[in-house]
Amino acid sequence: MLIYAVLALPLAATWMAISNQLTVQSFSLGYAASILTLAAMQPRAITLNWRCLPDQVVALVVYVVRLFVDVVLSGLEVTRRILSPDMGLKPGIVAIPTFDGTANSVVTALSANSITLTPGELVVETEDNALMYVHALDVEDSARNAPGEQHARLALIYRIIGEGC
Amino acid sequence: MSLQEIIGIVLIFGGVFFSAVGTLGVIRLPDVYTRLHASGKVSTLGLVGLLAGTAVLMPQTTIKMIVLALFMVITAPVASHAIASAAYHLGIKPQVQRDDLARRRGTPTPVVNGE
Repeated sequence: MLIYAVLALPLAATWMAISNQLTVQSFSLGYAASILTLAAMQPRAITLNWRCLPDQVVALVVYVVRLFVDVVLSGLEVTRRILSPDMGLKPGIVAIPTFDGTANSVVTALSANSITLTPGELVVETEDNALMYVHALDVEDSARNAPGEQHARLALIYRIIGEGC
Repeated sequence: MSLQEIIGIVLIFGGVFFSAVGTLGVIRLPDVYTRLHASGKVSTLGLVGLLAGTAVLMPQTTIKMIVLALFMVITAPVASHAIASAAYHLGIKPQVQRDDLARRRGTPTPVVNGE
């Protein structure tokens, strides 16, 4: 498929960045490997067409920037707990729905990844791509806030995978 | 010392600080699951700090450092999740006030044991 040829471009650029060789050979190697990988993976769970691609890329960039922000925030939050004398722990495992009616495994994976990086939360188990069991340092706080956050996150994830596009 | 060096050194010290706090957290926190919060999140922040410091001190490595930070941020939660899931499947009881997963499986809720 032609769209793979375009998707392989940023992958080949990443390869050149990692190998630190801005040469034609390096690009060719990265490009060939990227095409082969994409062809082998056949990403079916994600909508791939020319009309949706720009918005998907924007959404993916927003998602990754948010991951970085979450890393900093959750790192600071857990640091504050570790350094405080009593650590203020109310640990627990709480079930949080993905709110994803399509039960798409990519949605579950991206949601779980985000949740594990939000302050004080860690996904232990998922069930039927519909429920996530989240270990929280403050279980009452998480049980109150996490469903709302997941609802907001789902809109962005749907944009990434091109759901309804 | 130039401004560039000062910023780089501050970032590296920040990275070292958070790596140390992550280690302290693994010692202080009470069980596997809470410890994963320390090793997974605080240590990731420490690593991102170290990478950012390196990028500032050695600008020719910036792109590489960004890609490395990206890989860290994307894979760190996966590692934490895998360890937590494996621990739960092995039957290591979390010290919790509420356990929806145990209730789902019909096993008795583990004892409440806050530190």
